[in-house]
Amino acid sequence: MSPSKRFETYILPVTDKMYRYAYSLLKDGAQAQDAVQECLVKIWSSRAKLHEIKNPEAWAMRITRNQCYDWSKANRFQLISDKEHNTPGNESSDLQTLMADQQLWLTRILALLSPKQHEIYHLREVEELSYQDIAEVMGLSLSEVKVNLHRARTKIKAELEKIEAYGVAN
Amino acid sequence: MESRIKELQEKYWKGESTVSEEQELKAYFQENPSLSPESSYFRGLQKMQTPPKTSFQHPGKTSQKTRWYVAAAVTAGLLTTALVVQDARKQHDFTVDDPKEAFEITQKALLMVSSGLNEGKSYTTELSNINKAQTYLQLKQED
Repeated sequence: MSPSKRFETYILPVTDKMYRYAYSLLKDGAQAQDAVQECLVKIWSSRAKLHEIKNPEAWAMRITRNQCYDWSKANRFQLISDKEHNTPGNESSDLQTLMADQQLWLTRILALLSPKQHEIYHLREVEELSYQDIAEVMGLSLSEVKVNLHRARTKIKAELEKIEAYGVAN
Repeated sequence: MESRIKELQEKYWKGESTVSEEQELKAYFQENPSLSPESSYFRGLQKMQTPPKTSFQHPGKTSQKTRWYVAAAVTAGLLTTALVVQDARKQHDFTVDDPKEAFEITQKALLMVSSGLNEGKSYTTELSNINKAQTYLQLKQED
């Protein structure tokens, strides 16, 4: 398979995931789009090495993550996921969709997660990555991923139980 | 089916479910919506997966718009070149058969050029006057 064909087969179908991930980190549609476009240019320019990559999807997601973090460093802005931590009521990327569905309570619950938990949660629940892939994307150990995801789900479960019992999210 | 879903839910909250089992849960609650918070939660997760309304440009391929611009620029360039060549050919076609008439035309042309040259000569005289003044001032300063 030619490098161009490899790019079209393995990378282009992942652009939606890359965008949603970038959006979840940057919380800005235009910035997320620019970041992903830049990632595509980078990947395209090193497409000759694509055959060496065992897991192109995780690799593309990792490049997206690095791009977003580099931008945040270069522009000296805090990733909004950090700013939003423990500030329920703020709208975040994934959650805008939910708001449209009048599921504001879920917005509040997810805002309770730490930035790391939120990132792992997004990669698992929205992008459906395996634990191994999440570890690869975020540069964490497998157990760190599992522990953080379990803690995130436990927090969410506790909040859902409160809603079940009292009818509202705290 | 209900027991299967309960089992999957338990596994999910314990963090023991696989990606495919989680997909099964989301699909179930999407098809069987209820008012329970858990049902809304799983439906909400599936909503988050909605493809974004954005498209990305293939870095190796120029866009259709860029192609049109390039095509328009090339066409305009070709047209300009064709017009210039045609015009140059027309000028080359100018011929005079009568030697006397040709001599007169050449004479006129040469006169025109020489008058221009003379005009230029007057300018050089003025420039040399400026140089003279400059040399004079320099000498004065040295004194």
